Amino acid sequence: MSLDPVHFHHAFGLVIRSCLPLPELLPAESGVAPEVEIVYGEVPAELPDALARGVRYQSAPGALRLQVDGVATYLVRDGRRITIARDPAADDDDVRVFLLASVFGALLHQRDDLVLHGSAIVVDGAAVGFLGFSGVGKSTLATAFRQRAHPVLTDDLCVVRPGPDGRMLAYPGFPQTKLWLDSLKQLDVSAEGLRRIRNKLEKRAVPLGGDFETGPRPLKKLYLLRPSPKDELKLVPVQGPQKFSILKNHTYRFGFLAGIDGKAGHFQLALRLARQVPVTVVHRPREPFRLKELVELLAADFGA
Amino acid sequence: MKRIVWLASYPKSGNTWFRIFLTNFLRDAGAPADINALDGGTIASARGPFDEAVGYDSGELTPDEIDRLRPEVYRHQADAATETLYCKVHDAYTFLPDGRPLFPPEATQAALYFVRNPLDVAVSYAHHGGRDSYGRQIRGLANPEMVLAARDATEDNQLRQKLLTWGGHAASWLDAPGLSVHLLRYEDMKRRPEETFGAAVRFLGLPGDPARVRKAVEFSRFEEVQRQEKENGFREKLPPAKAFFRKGEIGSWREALNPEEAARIVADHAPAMRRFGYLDEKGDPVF
Repeated sequence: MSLDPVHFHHAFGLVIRSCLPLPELLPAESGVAPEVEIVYGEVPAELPDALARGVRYQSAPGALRLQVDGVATYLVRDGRRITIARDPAADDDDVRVFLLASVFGALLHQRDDLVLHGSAIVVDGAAVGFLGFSGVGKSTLATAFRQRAHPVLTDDLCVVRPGPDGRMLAYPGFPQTKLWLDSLKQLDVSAEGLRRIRNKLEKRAVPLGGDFETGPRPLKKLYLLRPSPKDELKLVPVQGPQKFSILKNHTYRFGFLAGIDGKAGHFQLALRLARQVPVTVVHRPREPFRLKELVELLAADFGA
Repeated sequence: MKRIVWLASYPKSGNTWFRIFLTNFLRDAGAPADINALDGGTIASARGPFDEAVGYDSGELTPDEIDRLRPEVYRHQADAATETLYCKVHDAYTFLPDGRPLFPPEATQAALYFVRNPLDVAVSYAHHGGRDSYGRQIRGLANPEMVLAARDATEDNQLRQKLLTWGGHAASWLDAPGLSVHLLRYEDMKRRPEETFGAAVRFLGLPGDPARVRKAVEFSRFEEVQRQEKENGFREKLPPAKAFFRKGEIGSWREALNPEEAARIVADHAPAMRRFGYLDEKGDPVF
């Protein structure tokens, strides 16, 4: 019915056909059978079988509704189809910011992937992930390693699924990082020419260009960034149940899972990951970040 | 559900001290509670719980967009709670452009309001920010547009908080329509802790057993929390400050502020200072 152009991209190992251009994503050949479709359409006000409800989301088995006031309402179905009802006041940047974060997070949860809140870089062909709450410095750290010639695998959404040999693989996300002006300054990166992620915000999109890893990589190690009340910088490896609780606490939008009824599968994957991959807590002073020292400490730890 | 008790104050006015007391009181344990693991969860302006409740990142919203969602976030938290939530807050009690209060009555059980002599607040707050000059704090106390965590170049771990002036902040909570609120003066907490904390506990409908209050007061006394901070740090300390629990004294402004600075604060806040008994009939500071 529609003659609107469609756009083919890939991310997280999936081919995506989208009604909305997604210029920050890598292109895919058109005509390839897409695994994910993004369309404009109507989104119901209520998901009657929702098992979990947040302030602006409803999560049901196979369906998640997310509403961003003044931007768009999104419906994610069966890990395959995203319907967007746009607010006329929103521009494409507004719509993409939430699409390429929580909405994709929901889609990947529905596909039974293990979706962690973190960034990841590549070290000697394997992935090293940095987990942590918002604002703790995950993107800044990934960018600092990019400056040391480590390709970036993903920023914000760290997606893990088992490969054919049972090894846990981390998947490439979107070839960009998002950084605030203060972080750019810390990294000695000029903000000039960098697009704001939304025109109302001072947060910039930094395209990764050739410094982006496009294939899945075995996950070799996870670090949890934790601000410390003390002026200390130290690494503390964790074991057993503590590892598992870190993976649980740093699951991307954990609240969505309750509605998907996907907790059991999620916990199995998290347990598997906990058995395979070492996890180390990085205690870092809240301020100053001591970024250079932190990068040296981590590089020595993972043997870069 | 009306499950939230707001522990509201301008910064540096005894709020954290009260939470340490309350944690010790509620746990009623044999040893002082860890100051880095207090009951009552995080401050109302914490970013993480907001993001989880809403379903997307506050870091990708403007402060005004965030404010419009905050009443619903608190209602959501209150509805999900199975017991009373004691929630620290430094925001003033303000109203959104559409008239809704930031802190919804449907989620609110009551509020405690902590007030402290603004002469001492100016000194304590300056040290909290790592400074020993007071001009900036004195201007801040009198600035009706005063906000916390409003830098737009970075992602603070807190949401923007409107403070109003020092007196405006106090009035916003104490005179909020329909809000059941109990006032505690820092100076009374200091001079008559058992009586003052005991009255707050009874206001909250908790058992006011004097021995239990006495023990919690003892476990949260200044020397104890200072010792803990020295040993393990304190997560609520701002990075530039040397210590969060610095002096905790009444009247330390007398050694810190020069006469012009003190006169400025009194001139800026005289009516509110009178309201809380901080000025005598002649207009001189009481403490």
